Amino acid sequence: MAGYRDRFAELASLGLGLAAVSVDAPERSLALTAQLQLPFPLLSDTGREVVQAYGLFNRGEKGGIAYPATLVLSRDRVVRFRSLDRVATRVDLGGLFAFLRGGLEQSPPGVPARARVVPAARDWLRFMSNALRYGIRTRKP
Amino acid sequence: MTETHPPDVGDVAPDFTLPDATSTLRRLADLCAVRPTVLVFYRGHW
Repeated sequence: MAGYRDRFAELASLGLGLAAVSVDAPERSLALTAQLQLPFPLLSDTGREVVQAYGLFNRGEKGGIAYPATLVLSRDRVVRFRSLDRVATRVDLGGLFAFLRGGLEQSPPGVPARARVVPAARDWLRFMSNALRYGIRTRKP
Repeated sequence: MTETHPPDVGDVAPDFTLPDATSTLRRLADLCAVRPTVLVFYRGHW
């Protein structure tokens, strides 16, 4: 959360808001907000209903917590960017800001710009196998 | 075993209403209507 705090001004300058969800109770969120001086709301999903609705419920840890994830939503709640990280304890902010600086509407529909669901290694293997099969072609203008 | 999957790029994110740190109810649709919003899920206290 401190990472998002440190870059909140940058987010705001890009015209974006921020909200963070965990299964913590509001009292805990209040303490964290004060401790870290957070300028954005922490939302309490103590019933685990939202993390389940989002497919981000890690039921194996601590009685069930959220898997770390970052979504960028348009004003009509369409997902423009998605970063899921079930392994690390936090999402890398580099990819998020690289996407945001490219502009919210830049990615063509149907092409998940930075959805990191497929491991990079698999993309690399696919690229190499295609290159061996078809040769490396440069994209025509 | 039908596990819900996270919304993909291009999907509409499920709306919800949750209390903030002061127990004020905040609705996602209302937050987004003001400006595009980064929605972060975090592990929380442990």
